[in-house]
Formats: sequence, structure tokens, C-alpha cells
Amino acid sequence: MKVLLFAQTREATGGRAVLRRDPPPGDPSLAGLLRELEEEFPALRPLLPRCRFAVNGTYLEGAAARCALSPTDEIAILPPYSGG
Amino acid sequence: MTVKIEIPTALRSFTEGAPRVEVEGSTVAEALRALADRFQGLRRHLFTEDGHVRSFVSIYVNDEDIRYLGRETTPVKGGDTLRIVPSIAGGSPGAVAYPSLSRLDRPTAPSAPKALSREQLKRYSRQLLLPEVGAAGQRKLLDSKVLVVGAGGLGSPLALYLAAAGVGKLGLVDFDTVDESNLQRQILYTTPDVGRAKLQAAEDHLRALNPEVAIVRHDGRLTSANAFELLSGYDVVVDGTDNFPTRYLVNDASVLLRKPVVYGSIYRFEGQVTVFDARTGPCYRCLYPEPPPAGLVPSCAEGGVLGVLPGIIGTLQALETLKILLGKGETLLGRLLLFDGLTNSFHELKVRKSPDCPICSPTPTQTKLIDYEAFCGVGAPPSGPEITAQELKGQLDARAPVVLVDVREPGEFDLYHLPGSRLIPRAQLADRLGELSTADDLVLVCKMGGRSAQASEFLRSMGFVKVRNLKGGLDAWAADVDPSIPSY
Repeated sequence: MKVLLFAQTREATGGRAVLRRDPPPGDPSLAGLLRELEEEFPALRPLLPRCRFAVNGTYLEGAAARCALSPTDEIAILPPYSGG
Repeated sequence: MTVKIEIPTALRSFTEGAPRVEVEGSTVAEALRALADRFQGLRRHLFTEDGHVRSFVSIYVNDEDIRYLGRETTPVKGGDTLRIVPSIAGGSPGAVAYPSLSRLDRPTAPSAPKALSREQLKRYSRQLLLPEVGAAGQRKLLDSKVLVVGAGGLGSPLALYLAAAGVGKLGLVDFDTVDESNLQRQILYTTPDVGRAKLQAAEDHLRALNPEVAIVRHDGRLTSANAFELLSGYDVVVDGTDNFPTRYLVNDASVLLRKPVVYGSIYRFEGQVTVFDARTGPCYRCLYPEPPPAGLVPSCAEGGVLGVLPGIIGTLQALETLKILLGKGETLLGRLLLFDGLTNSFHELKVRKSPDCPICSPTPTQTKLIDYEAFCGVGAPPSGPEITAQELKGQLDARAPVVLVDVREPGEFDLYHLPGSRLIPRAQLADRLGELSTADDLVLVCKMGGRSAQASEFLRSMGFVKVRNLKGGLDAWAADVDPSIPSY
């Protein structure tokens, strides 16, 4: 999977804009992926609860977050920001 | 195999205006031939006389140039998108650098309607030449009313371009004065404006640019008390603010007044642009129902920003605003456009109207404006222990064993830092916890106190108990302890 990071989530992973990951074998859902990323990058922990997530260009709503991800999916993690 | 072909503006006169056409074909050449069969006028633009795709026509399959694939024999499959990209030489008095087009298909100049004066014809001639604008479109712009909330980094290019285009009434909301540190990106202001009220300076410059635009100054803050009255006089609201409370207020008031919002936001080298309109699409709260906790997201003053970034995003907002007013093109409604300045790339995400949106769903949980400062946690008591600059000074003078951890970026640290402080940028904190001891008395420092508050929170979550945040950061240190340190 291609995981796209933006704004502060990028900084929390040491400036990486894209991560390559496989769907976690234990829990191949978005929640599973986020748990894996949080373990690897603890600085993500305070940010993720306020982020929105898109899979293949479409924002996830509610129950969709529990669907299984596939290895070809592109996941975008978007924190809010308000600069102007 | 049905493939989509995206038609560039320059060729749409041949496709009855259609921006995209679906055709059958299993290679690029087949698909283009099918397109030319349907729209005969396109044939000589796309093919040479012996039936090959013209060399100056760039074709992309799913964003890849076919010259790097199999050229015109590149296979295509169902669902692929083919894009015809003509070379364009705009920016100066140029035309489309498309040999046959520049001669044959230059839009005919619209006949001068009585409504536009000679001066107006001259001033707006370059946009009157666009079939999408013309005299009728220009009339619409002159009759329209746009409110720009925030006259800063985004508001500067917005106000300049909207005034230049002849938007009839341009309202501006801001309470601030021009500061030297604004000039690097807020191109509406000049050096002699430093210290003046922003809107006073803005009005002068915008009037000089286009005297026929009515500039309406709304000095002060947009609040829940004045938002309805202020917004109701305008057709489109443009969000160029720099803080979450005002963004939520702009959104909610616009939803309740049924007005479109052109949204733009920046963070360092990144930006977002979209159009919200709850009547036909999503609103800001469909995207982000709730704000992040106060202090989690650094502002421009804390995070830094390159001036061109708000220039790019604000200009995109101006474009969306003009399209809404003209009723032309496809706006970004339902699409969030993300810009990354470091790679100069755009990414697009679909945003849907949320069935659970607290304000724009059929069963909203909020039907009036609220206290947005409280909603965004601004002014809320800090979540952890703090130390003021003066208290810290006292402890340092008394040689108390405090460990100062500066969580700013190395470049900021180089500008100035407290003697004895050690640099661990916030983003590296998680990886460098080993350098800190839970036994130490830690004081976290940044420029304004926001990043260090977040870092303090993080350290507490990792088991550090003796963590205090320098309240107000080094700005407070400069104000209350040592005015000689450089402020930036």
C-alpha cells in the first residue's frame, strides 16, 4: 500500500511524504494500519485522532474504516491546518 | 473498451464544449480516431494527412506521456483516461501555441454591449476576449459581491486579483495592523504601510489598482454576533483566515445563510483548496467535524511559511471565486485539491457531503452559531503545568536544576536560544526520548508556547512526570525578561 502523509504527519515520520506498507496481517483494516504506524512513529499518536483518511482518493466515512485494505490501495492521512 | 478523453479548453469548440468524451478503442490511436470520427473538426488538429498523431500533440494515458509508453500504439483499457495536452504559451500577450488554432479559432471579440463603458472595455479586454467571460460575464462580475475574510497571506492575492478582475463590491474583514513580518508574503502591503491598519492600507492599494471596485472595510473581528449581518450582503464568502475558530464560524454562518465558501489553507510548503456549498455539496464540517485541540497545529507565526505558498493557494481561491461568479467551468466543489510546494505536485481527494454532518445534514445537531473560541478550545486552561518567563528566570538565577529542552527547528535555535538549553526538534522527540531522564525537571521551550505545550503533553504520555511548558514561549521571554533577544 502507498500511505500518503501530509503536513504534521509528515514531520512526525521524519519528513517522509510516502510510506510503503502491506495491510497488517492481524488486522488489515485502516485501524490496524494506524496502530502499526503509531507504534513505529509515536509522534503520530496525538495527531491521528484529528486526522481524516482517504482510501484511493475518497474520504472514509464511519463503517468504511473497518473494511479490509488491499495491497494496491492508496491511503491518505490528512491533519487539519488553518494557516492563512 | 471505453476510455475517457479529457479535452483541453483550446479544443472544446470542436466537442460542443464537452470537457471530456468517452470513446471506444484498444490503443491510443484507435481512441483518438474514434474521437475524430465523432467530432470531424478535430481530425486535422490531431492527425497528419497520412493518418499519424501529430508530433506537437502531447497525449497522456493516466498521466503518463505516451512518448515514454508505446506512442500511438500504446494499449488502453476500460476506465483509462487519455489527456490531450496542447502547448500553451500564455503569461504574456501570447495566444495558444497551437499552429492551426491560433489562426483559426481565436475567440471572436464580443460585440460591445451598451452596458460596458469604453474604459471598461479597455481595462477588461483580455478577459472579455475569453468566451467564458465576454461582456455578459464581465457584467456579472461587476454586479457581484464577494467577502474576503482575512486580509493576510491568502487575502492579499485574493483581494488583488478579484479587484483587478472587476468584482463590483469587495468586502474585507480584518482587525490587524501591518507588521514588518507580514511583508514577505502579504503582497497587498508595502513597507510604508508598516504600522497602519491593514484594511486602510488595503483600500488604498486596491483603489489604485481598480478605482471602480467598491471596497467595503469591515474593521474588526468576525464574531458569532456580527457574522450573519456581515455575510448576508455578499454572494460568495472567501475564507482566508489563519485560525480554526474563524474557519468554523465562516463555515457555519455560510451554511445557515446558504452561501458558497471558497476555502484555502496553508501549512509550511503545503496547501489545500476547495469550494464548500452545503446546498449542493459538502461543507467544512463534513470534512473536519471538530477542530484539533488548541495548540496542536502551529500557526504561520510558529510553523513558518514561504511567501509564494499563500500566493499560489490564494490565487487558486481567486480563480474558484471568479468561476462561481461567472457560472463557468467546474469548481472544486466536492474535491479537495492538495498542493505540495516542495515537489510542486497536486493531489486531489473526493469530499462527500456527510450524512452525519452536525450542521449541514438533514438532521443537524447545531442550528445556530456557537462560541467558536470555546469550541476550538482557545483560552481553555492548559492541560499541563506551565511556568512563566519570569518564574523561569528566577529559577535559573537561583541555579535550580532545570533542564531546558528547546523543541523548535535547528534554524530557529540558531537565531536565538536560552543559554544552556538543548535542542530536540518536536518532530524528533519521539526518537530521542533516550536523551531525557524522567528524573529531571524539564522545561519545554518554543517560540510562542504552542509546540512546546504539545511536546509536553507527548512527554507526559510517555511517562515523564516533571514536565513544564514555558508559557508564551520565547516571545514571552522577550516581552517580560529580556527585550534584547531577537524576535522573529
